[in-house]
Amino acid sequence: METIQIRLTANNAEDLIMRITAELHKRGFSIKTLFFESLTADMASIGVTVVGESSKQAQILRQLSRLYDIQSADLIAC
Amino acid sequence: MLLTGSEIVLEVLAEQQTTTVFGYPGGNVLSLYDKLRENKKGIRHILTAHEQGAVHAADGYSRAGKGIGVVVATSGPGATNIVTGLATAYADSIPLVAITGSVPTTSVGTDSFQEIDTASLTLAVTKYSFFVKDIKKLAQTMRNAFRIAQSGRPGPVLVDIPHDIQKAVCSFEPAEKVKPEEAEQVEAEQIQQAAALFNQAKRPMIYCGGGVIRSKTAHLVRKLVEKSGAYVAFSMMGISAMELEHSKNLGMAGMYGKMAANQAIAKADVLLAIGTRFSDRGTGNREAFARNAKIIHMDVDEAELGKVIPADIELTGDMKGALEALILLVEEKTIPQWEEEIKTIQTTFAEEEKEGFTPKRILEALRQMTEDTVPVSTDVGQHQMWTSKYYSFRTPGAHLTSGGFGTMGYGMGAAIGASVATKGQSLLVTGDGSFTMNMQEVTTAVRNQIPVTVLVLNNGGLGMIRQLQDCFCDGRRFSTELQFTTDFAALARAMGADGYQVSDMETFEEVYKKTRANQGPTVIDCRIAEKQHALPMIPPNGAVEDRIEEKDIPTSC
Repeated sequence: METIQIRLTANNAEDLIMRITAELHKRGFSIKTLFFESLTADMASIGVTVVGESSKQAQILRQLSRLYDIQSADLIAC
Repeated sequence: MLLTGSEIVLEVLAEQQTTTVFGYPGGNVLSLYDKLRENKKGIRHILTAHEQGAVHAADGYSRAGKGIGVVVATSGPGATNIVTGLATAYADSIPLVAITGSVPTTSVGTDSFQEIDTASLTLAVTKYSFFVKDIKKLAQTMRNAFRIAQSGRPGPVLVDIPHDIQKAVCSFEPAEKVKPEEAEQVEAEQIQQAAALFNQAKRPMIYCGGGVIRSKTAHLVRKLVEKSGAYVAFSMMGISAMELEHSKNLGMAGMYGKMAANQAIAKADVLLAIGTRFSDRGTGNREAFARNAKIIHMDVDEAELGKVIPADIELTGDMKGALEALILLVEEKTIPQWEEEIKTIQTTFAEEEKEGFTPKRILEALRQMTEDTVPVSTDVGQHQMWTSKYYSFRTPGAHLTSGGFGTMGYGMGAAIGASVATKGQSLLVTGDGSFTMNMQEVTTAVRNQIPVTVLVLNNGGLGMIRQLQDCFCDGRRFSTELQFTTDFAALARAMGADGYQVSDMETFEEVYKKTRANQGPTVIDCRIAEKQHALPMIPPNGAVEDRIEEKDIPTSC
């Protein structure tokens, strides 16, 4: 298990955080911290620190990227 | 124009060319049902016996037809009753739109009667779940639901609408039918790399999943197979892409698949996987799967690439464009040595033909007596495996089954939806356990004169789990014996359907032919022997060499 930091850029949609946290939970990651900032009325930036299998890093980025409101998902540090 | 929320819902459904919705009324969809009753938009509502039947019918409608299935349910238990159906559709990438009523916005959060947070509850089993709090956003939300459901990798979308929003009034502007977002084209360089690798192969295999059906590319897979010298195997979700009789089709691979298909995948030096998520039921032991092969993985969903089986070349994007380009680059050839190897494999793993009233003989006879385009639904269990292995599909998409989620009780609703979508007969092949779960939907088919023919392959028990108890619990059976206590033919007649019980091939064929023209449902209870297993099988996380055959099962069975 490793700690991974991910940065997301997303449409600032209702229930966005719920969708992100549910996806992380579904894929076996535990959330340690979560930071949310509205960039504009339509866009948001989210920083999330999670604990999970390091072998699944690339996969979780792809899983988050396919969420409908996510514009980009990047690994910041692990 | 000024419309109520319920009228807006129906306007958008009509805009999307929805002609049928499946559902069950309740207190928090009362306004919507009142507008459905008025039928100003010509939308037919089919009342099911249970919300689960409605959501499976919407799923079957999507799978069998060209439209998107729509299900309507009320709040609370109505919503929870559709969750299994949403999960079923989600696992198999089936587009559908679910509309649920919710308690009025003023009651949200007060734990009022039949209140549940449906949007949260369905997050994990939908592509998107909306909770509409503002009537001004209702029309666009409904349109977004249809767009999301069919864009990219399809899936179910839920729209939860509080009852006061259904009754509120708002201006409405008509719009065109929404179009799905187009998938990006696969990069030409990647396709060239894939073609180069595929052209070098001495033992090429193609492995296709449900993505081939959903993307309507079965004809392109056929072209590729016939041009390249490759053989093809399918996951359960892909088997309707090609008839079993095709000389290059090795049939369903995986846990309950044909061992020749599994062995060929194990021997292949290049495996081109198309539209598959490499389900564990298809791959078994990941390390052993296609152990000698370089893998090219093509899928519309990038998140599936590398999730289970690492690929040497990943192709993500529009499947149709990618396959068309690949076909142009693939060399036209035959590979005699590979053909010889496959012949040896097929001889080695040839299945013994048995006499009597066996599932294989029933399904082969059923196939002979049924038109190619008739949709065939199944439930989950041994009958599902037998259908996948022995029924030769000739129409892509004509096989409706819960492959990913494995939902017992799926079939009757799905068969109803498929019949409505195709405006003709549909078949359900089921087992006595699965049919018992949702057999009340026979009443739906009776009330609406829907011609579903149900074949219950009745072996007096939960055959698949009983088989697993025989294989992995040293024959200690528990809670899997149903003992032939239900007379399904009599039960069908009690619900207003036609019902028969048969126990030999001759009577079965006679009854089936006689009832083909029935306008409503028919149930044929086929009393087969308890001892018939879905074998050979590969144990979970096993490989082809770990297969279990009849001789390996304790004598207790």
